[in-house]
Amino acid sequence: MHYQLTFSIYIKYLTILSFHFFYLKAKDVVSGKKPLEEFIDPRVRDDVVIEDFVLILKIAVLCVASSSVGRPTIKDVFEEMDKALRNTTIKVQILSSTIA
Amino acid sequence: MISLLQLTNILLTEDKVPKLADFGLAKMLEMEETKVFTDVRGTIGYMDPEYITHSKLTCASDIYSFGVVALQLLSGRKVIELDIVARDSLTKKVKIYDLLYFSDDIYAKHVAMILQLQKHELFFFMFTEQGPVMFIYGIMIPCIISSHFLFILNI
Repeated sequence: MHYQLTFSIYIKYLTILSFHFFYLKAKDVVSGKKPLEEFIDPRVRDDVVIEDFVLILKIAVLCVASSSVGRPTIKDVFEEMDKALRNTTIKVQILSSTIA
Repeated sequence: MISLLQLTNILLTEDKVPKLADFGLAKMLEMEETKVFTDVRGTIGYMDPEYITHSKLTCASDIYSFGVVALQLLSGRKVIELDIVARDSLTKKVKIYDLLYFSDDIYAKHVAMILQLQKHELFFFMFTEQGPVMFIYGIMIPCIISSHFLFILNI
């Protein structure tokens, strides 16, 4: 019982630590200090429009700001993601029409 | 306010339409045994840091949880991985190593490396050049923070 309690505290500590590094990596990618390849899911690498991916990544990084004052509202989030989705749809349509 | 937005609470229908699941369901499946829940509502990692310090839950807390979910979806990596059972030491090590994948910090690498060692390997590791320093940073400090030294015995 005592041991399990200690372990759970340790895991909490590790979780917070690992998310911190994850967040720093995402921030570096957004600010251009690191290449996108270090963050992006390799399974979707060829299927996404990079600009729109970065746009959503930027919103996500803003959302996890430690101070609640710096975070966007859900309206902002929705608008930006909608913009990214529409951009992607248009680009995919253009791409498929040129191929056809 | 949802305050329980997390990857395990988002379900997909057959048409890939995401649905938010209720927390009560997770309780019925006795998931609390494998997850590290806090005494208050919410899971560690998805919780607003302001909520932890001020215990003040606002709409911005949901935005925070959404950001955590979105970042994990974009990277394709489960960073908040709490399915760690203390008894299952092999998977434990693998998962903790996964957790620290994104770190550039040498300290976190020490933690990850030492957790991959076996108990007897740890003993010989102490006599290598880097050993003592890495031991202090990788084991001692996390232990002091988690206030006990006991867990080493079960690595």
